[in-house]
Amino acid sequence: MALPNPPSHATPAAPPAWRHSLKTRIAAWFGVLGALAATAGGITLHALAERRALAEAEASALRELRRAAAETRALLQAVGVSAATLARAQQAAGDAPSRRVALLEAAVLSDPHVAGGLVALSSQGAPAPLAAWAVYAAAQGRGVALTDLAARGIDIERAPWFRETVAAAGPRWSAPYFNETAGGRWMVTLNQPLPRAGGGAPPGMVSLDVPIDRFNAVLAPARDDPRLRAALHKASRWIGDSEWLSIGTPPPASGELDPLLAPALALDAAAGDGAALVPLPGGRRGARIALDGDWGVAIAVDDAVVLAPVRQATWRFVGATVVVIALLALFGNALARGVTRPLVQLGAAAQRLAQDGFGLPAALRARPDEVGQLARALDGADAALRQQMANAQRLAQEQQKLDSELRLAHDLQQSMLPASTAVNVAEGHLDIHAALKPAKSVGGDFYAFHPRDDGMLWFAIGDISDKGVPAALFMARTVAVLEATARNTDSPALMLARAAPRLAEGNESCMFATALCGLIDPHTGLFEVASSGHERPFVVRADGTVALFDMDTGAPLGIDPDAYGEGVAGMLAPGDTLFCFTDGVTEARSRDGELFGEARLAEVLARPGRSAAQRIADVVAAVEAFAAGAEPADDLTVLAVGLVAPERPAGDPLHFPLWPGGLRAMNRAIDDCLASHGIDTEGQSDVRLALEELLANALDHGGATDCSVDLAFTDRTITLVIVDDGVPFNPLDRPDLDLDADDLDRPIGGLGVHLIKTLSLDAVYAREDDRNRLTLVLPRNPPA
Amino acid sequence: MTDDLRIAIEGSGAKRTCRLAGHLDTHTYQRADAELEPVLADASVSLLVLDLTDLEYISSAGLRTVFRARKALGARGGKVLVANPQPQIRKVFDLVKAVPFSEIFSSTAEADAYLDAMQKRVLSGDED
Repeated sequence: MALPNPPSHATPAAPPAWRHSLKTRIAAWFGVLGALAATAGGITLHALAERRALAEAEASALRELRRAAAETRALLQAVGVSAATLARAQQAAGDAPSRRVALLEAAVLSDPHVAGGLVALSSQGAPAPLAAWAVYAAAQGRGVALTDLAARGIDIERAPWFRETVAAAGPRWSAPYFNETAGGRWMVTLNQPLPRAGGGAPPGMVSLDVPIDRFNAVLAPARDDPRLRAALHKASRWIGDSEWLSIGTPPPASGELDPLLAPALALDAAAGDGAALVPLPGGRRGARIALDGDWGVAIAVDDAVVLAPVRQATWRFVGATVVVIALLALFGNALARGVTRPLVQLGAAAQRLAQDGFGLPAALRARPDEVGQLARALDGADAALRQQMANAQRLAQEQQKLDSELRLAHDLQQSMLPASTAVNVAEGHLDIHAALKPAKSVGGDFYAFHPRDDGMLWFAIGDISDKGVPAALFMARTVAVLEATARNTDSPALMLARAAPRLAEGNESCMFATALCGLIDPHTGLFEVASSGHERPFVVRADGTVALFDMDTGAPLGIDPDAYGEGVAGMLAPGDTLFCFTDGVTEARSRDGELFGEARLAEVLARPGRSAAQRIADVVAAVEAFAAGAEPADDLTVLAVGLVAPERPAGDPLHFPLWPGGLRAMNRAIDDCLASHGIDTEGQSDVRLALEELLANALDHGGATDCSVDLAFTDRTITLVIVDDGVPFNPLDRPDLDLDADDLDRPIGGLGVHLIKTLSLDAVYAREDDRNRLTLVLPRNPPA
Repeated sequence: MTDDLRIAIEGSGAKRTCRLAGHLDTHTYQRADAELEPVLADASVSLLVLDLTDLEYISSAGLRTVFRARKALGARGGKVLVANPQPQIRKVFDLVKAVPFSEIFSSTAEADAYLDAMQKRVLSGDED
């Protein structure tokens, strides 16, 4: 016999999913830790760098502010000194105009800041006969271009610049203006009155023009620093701005300039000493230093610009960090591979174990680390493990062989059980069905049946005291013995009596079997059963009436060679079923431990009009539903023999009501029916006699107002079912008559009941639904 | 099969023959009783032969009529003989032991022969 291949132990284990791999985890942890460290360091460094950049920007701003203030102050002083010197020299120049002009020229040429100069005298101060004169000297290349203003028709003494200067006590800087005379440039002019002679008004004035470009140049260093913005102003007029190239363009009014510096100009004196920066709107900080009255220098720092390079650097740091972390992760991966590769090799070796042993690579065994230790330990266990696995495989094969033998035994046992069969006779037939559900693969229950040569059907059902293989063997023996003893007798009791000594003989293991065996005549439905310790069968009538068959039982087979039960006879009418079962039915347990019981079985059987096969199916289904989920404790076997009425031809009613025709009409209809079914005169007479006795009794004495008769036929019997609605009366309860033909004084009543009991093969009385119901089975002539 | 009863009583003196035909049952026994009443009451009658050749059916009610006749004649030393019953009737008679086996004959002729023999025995017995 070919055994299936043993299940393979060498199914390769799938490598761990990448996300479970040690490699991945190590790499991930490297990455996470690196990222955490980089983030913490980056945040700290970034904060430090920002603070330092802001501080450094503030220092630069203040340094630049002080420098611009000092340079501007120096420029103003230098021009002031030149103007004062020129004024004093004019005083000393006397009346010679050429000398005054020469002094003017010298002053303009000597001061590189100065683009032009003016000497103007009033009529008092002017040398006669001149009324008043003024000369303007504009620097041109290395020389000077002179312009006589009076000759141009300008009324000197009435010109606003002259009158304002002369009226002033000292030198005054003008507001910026566009000077065409000096070559079309924006200028500021320092106007200096000439010293007074005596107590009168100053006799004239000098002035020096300085292009505002000169002042703007002072702010040049701030122009190169994008963080800073510096501005120079006089009162509300702009003189210079680090973001403004003033050549050719007018200085805008302060309101028109970048509003960022406006607040700087407004800084009060206390904040305006240039000692520290104060916050300005728009994220800026600023400071201002006041010079010579209404002059001032202001500076502002744009923090956004200051921090821009810091942020840029931070982003660069972040980028670099990501790269470094990726490199770290790769490094971790590589490091982990060094650990996991030997582990994978060990795993592969373990998979090979089932067939070839570990076969560990020598390189692994030689490793000095933990991996090497593990490899050497596995190598040592190799032989023992292979021995164990070989043992397990051998055991599995043996188990499989055993299972296969049990399967064979099961099939063999099932094949011993006959298939359902039917014994056909001229009218109707006998149906026998059975089912056996073993609790294990082989069971101790059995059933058997076969039609005998004389036309009778023999059947048996039983239960061995044990389960499993021993019970199956004993069961086979019991069935064989019963079949043998069933041969030469018509008495089921004798069959059991013959079987008892043969099964008790040499039965050292003291196994025993209960058995019920019987014979049934398919022609009449007459049966006889005998029991050796087996459950009593149910008789189920066609209409669903259920009753345990009343019988005694002997001792089980196998122990006492002399024990057997008595045979008891019964009768099946067409549609009736004899239902035999083992205790596997009544002792089936639900999951709650409740027993199925005889009452439940009777309930399942109490369905009218079911065939033997249907009743088997009903009971098996009910027990299986009841015991669903519970371990089957015992084999379950059921066997049902049913007497089946022939198909009734259409228009052949077998039901005869009393009304509306009355008794005589009913009798005539029954006579006709009997004749049409081939019942001879004797049979007709028997039926008529039985009916007359019963119906006359019910109608005349029982107070019945209605009754009916049902007929059924088999080959050898006529079944009458008489139902009436009279008072309860069971004619079968009447005592038997003591008949003596020679006794002329004997009572002449009770003959009818006596006739019925004598004529019938079987009679069953029942009181149902307030009606008497009597079933009589009468013999008949065999059909032609 | 008719379910009616026809009855005819013949003869005179001590022996009468009653022919019953059809059904003797619940519905008809009273008529049979009435017809037989004068015969049973006549003290001169000592022998009644029931000719059942054409009797098709008898029920326990009919049996009671037979019993009553046997009882009435038996009381004064008379006899009821049954002649020629059909098988089903004979079966019922047997089942209830209605009439001793020796008093059932397969024909009226057989009954007559039996009666003649009886008479001779009685006569010779008288001589003894």
